[in-house]
Amino acid sequence: MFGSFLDRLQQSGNVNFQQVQDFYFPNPNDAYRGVPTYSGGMGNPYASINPNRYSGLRPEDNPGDKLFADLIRAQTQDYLTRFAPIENFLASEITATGTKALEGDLQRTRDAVAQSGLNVQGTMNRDAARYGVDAQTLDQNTMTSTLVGGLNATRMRDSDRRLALLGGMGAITAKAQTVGR
Amino acid sequence: MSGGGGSKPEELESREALAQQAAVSLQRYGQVFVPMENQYIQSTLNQFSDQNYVNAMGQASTQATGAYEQGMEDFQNAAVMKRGLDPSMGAYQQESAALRAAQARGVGQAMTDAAITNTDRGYQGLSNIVKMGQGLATDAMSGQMEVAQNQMDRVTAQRNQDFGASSSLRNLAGTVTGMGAGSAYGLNRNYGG
Repeated sequence: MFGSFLDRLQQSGNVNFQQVQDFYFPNPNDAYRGVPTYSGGMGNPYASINPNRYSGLRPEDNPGDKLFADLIRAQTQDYLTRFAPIENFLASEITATGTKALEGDLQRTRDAVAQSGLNVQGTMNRDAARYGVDAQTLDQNTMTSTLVGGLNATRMRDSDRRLALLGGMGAITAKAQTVGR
Repeated sequence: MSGGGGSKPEELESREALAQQAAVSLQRYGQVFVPMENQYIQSTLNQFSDQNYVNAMGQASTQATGAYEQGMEDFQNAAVMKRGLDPSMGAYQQESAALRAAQARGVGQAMTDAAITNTDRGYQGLSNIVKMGQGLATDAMSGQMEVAQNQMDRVTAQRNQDFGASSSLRNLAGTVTGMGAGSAYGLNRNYGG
């Protein structure tokens, strides 16, 4: 569908073949990544807490402090087990220009435009058959500009997404620094 | 230290009661809310599944196609009934082709937007999970700071008790030298003469 457009782009001399190839047909392995692997735990990290564990201790042995310490350790373990893996994953998704979801989104944009073009062409063919006239061809310039516009919009959305993630990830630093003040 | 033998400060009974209250709250959190949070985590991760993208894009395609098909039907009725055009005529075919191209563009854009929005929602969900976890981390860190402060309070109380029991220092208090020594140990306020 876009063969002639690509040919003209390459013949213009502004981009080489590999750049065009990478832009429009990147490695599909990077595109469809599926559900991210979650290395965290799904258990109940507070199941082993016993409120009466230190009830037998004398007041000078600080049973309350000991129990508080148990609770803090359980919370810390919970954070490390269930939430830190998500933090690590999210941080690893941020790239220099956007996120690692970009390849997938670009591929889906290509798929969407191509699929939409095919569907509408099919409808046009059926209409033509119904009216007994020659089928028309969908305007290729429209589809090419739709694809290029879609790819550009996809990249811009991904860039915005990167900024949002960077802003969201920064909160823990400020919180950690103000604890105890 | 010089022979002071004060007993360890006793912890208030209410402190253990508070700790027990916190423990019960955390137990309930673990039983009731942790499973819900885990479901939320799993659902958020599933947002990135290929099937989820297919569903989102399919729904967008159906909705957009329906909107454009209604428009095409209106065009066909108007062209045939009001303008007397025939589908074999050039004017009809030109306008029809232009509208079909617009349909292809509109549906493609709707599908693209649905896919990108699905990714956005996935990342947004993960950011929410991070915030949930950060609250937990902050609580835990606050707790550790509290423990450290309590430990410091106890050490301070113990030190004051020990030095307060020292007769040598007590005898010095009130004299010029004693005031100096007392200041050095922070005794001028609590134990000074």
